[in-house]
Amino acid sequence: MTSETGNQGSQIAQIFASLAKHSDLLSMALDGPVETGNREQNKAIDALVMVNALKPYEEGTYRLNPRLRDFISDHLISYNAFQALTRVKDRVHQAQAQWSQLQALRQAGATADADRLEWALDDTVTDIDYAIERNLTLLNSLVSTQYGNVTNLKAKLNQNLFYGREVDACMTEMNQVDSIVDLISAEALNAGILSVRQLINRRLGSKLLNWRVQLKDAQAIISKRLFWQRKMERRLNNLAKSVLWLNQHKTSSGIEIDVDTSAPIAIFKPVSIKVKPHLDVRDKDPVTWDEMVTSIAKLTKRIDRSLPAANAKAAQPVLAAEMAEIEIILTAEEFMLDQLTAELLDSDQTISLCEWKSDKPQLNLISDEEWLLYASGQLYAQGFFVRMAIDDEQDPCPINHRFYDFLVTCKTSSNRIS
Amino acid sequence: MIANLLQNLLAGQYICPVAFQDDFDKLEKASVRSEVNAWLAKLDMRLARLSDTGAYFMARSVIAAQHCSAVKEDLLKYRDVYGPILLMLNHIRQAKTEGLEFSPGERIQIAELETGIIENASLAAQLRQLYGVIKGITRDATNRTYLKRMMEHLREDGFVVLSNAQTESYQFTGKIDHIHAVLEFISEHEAIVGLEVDDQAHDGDTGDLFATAELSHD
Repeated sequence: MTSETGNQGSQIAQIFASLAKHSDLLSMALDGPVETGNREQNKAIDALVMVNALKPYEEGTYRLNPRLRDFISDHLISYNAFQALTRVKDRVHQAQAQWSQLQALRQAGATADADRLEWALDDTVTDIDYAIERNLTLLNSLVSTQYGNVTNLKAKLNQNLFYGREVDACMTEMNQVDSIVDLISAEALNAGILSVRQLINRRLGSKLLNWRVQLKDAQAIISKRLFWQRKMERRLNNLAKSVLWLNQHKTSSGIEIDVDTSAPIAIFKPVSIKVKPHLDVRDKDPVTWDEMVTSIAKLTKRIDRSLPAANAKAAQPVLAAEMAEIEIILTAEEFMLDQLTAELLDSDQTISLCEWKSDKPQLNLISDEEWLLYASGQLYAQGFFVRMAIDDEQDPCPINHRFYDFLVTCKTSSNRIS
Repeated sequence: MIANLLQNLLAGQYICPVAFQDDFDKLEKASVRSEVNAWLAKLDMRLARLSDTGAYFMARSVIAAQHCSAVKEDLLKYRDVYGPILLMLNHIRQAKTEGLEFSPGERIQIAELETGIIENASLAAQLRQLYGVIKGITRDATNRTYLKRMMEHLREDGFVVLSNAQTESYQFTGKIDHIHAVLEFISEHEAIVGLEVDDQAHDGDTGDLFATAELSHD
């Protein structure tokens, strides 16, 4: 056994020595397949193929062992696009089968086989631990860099969808791991195999809660991005449909939709309230005063209307010419009125217009009534005191005054015809 | 301290981190939001938001029937009110080769749009059809001038800001979410129906009920 272990140890050391010796070729193989070339390269390829570090791909072409690639990717935290998460359910079934067999071997007393199987179960549990940690590292690196392993937005969105499903599968497997941990832990306690109980609780049980939290966080981010993605798709869809409608309904000016108070506030345009400050002319603050003076200076100048016009026109001379005298021809009534006026001015007596007319043959052509109305008005206008001679002073209801004459005197103290 | 913020709200601006970085940062504090709301309440207004993370704006405290009528009127004049912006955004969507989400903060470069047009001749023809839609453009202007004027039109309407004059790079502002909200509202009322609707689940579909419409003209 010791010699076997020693041989195995030296073989493993040789494998790592070979890998170290040809590390340059391994670095090249990480980026893509390597081809046979010069003698030195061919020798290196042969050595790596011997230790299964390189696998034949095509004629003369070799690729890095996928397990080695995974190991290096985990170290570099660099993953390919759409790299699936490691499934652990097979390992969970394996652990369950190993445990069942371990129990049977312990009961049968096959200690050596039981010990080996316990070591294999340890290996399986460690594998499950490692796989889940690797899945979480992969998810965190992709989600935190927003799928930085691709640049195209569409690819990013598709990866988001892909890993959304992967996370759902992971959550289901986490439940399976939880179940197997409870089962093995309880059965190991009953069977008295405390080493297995300690193994399962330390490696898996104690980490489950943290794993679930990390997985849920990643799920939340992915879901949020999925929701955002759906929202963006809907927005672009709405935009495209709206423009299509505009192009296809050229005679339609708009859309009739009932809008009520329950409509979302976002569709109501913001209110605009114009605010215009004014100067406080009573403010004596120097700043305000200066501002006021500046504002006034901007006003248009007042036009001073007191000044004479610059080009005032000279007064137009009036040409006077001799005009022929116009002979005033008076009518008989006008001539006689002038005589009466002269008589009134010469004496202070009261003259009766009818009596005065009676001996004036020049007034025979007009009636007494015409003479009275004409003369009274003219004399009154000239300022004489004119008085009606009323006949029926005893009339109890003097609505209309009936007069038969006017009495005129030169006194002009009253301007009323009485 | 919040004087500038209040003035911008009164002016009807959408306060987003792209167009109004400082004001937006202030509004992220609960104390400032409370103070602004108390001040706006005296005007029968309130602080509203386009979404949970969207731009802030001033809205009426109580939406009355006449306000609903105003929105209805805008929808009846949909072609005039929203048409120009939608046509320009759709052109950008088609010209930009890398996926665009039309989200606040997203960048667009005129050079990218021009590249898209060079690679797709039909896009150039579609761009010319925006004559009459884009403000201040002449019919014989070059494609680049069309694109520049289109981006300036969007900037003047408040949908983008010029983030880098040298690279002619623009960024969408929070106001773009208002357009999305209107389109979503119209879509929910099934006022605009797509030509073809793809009901089949695609790879990667986790069973969500959203249907992706495939449009023949794309």
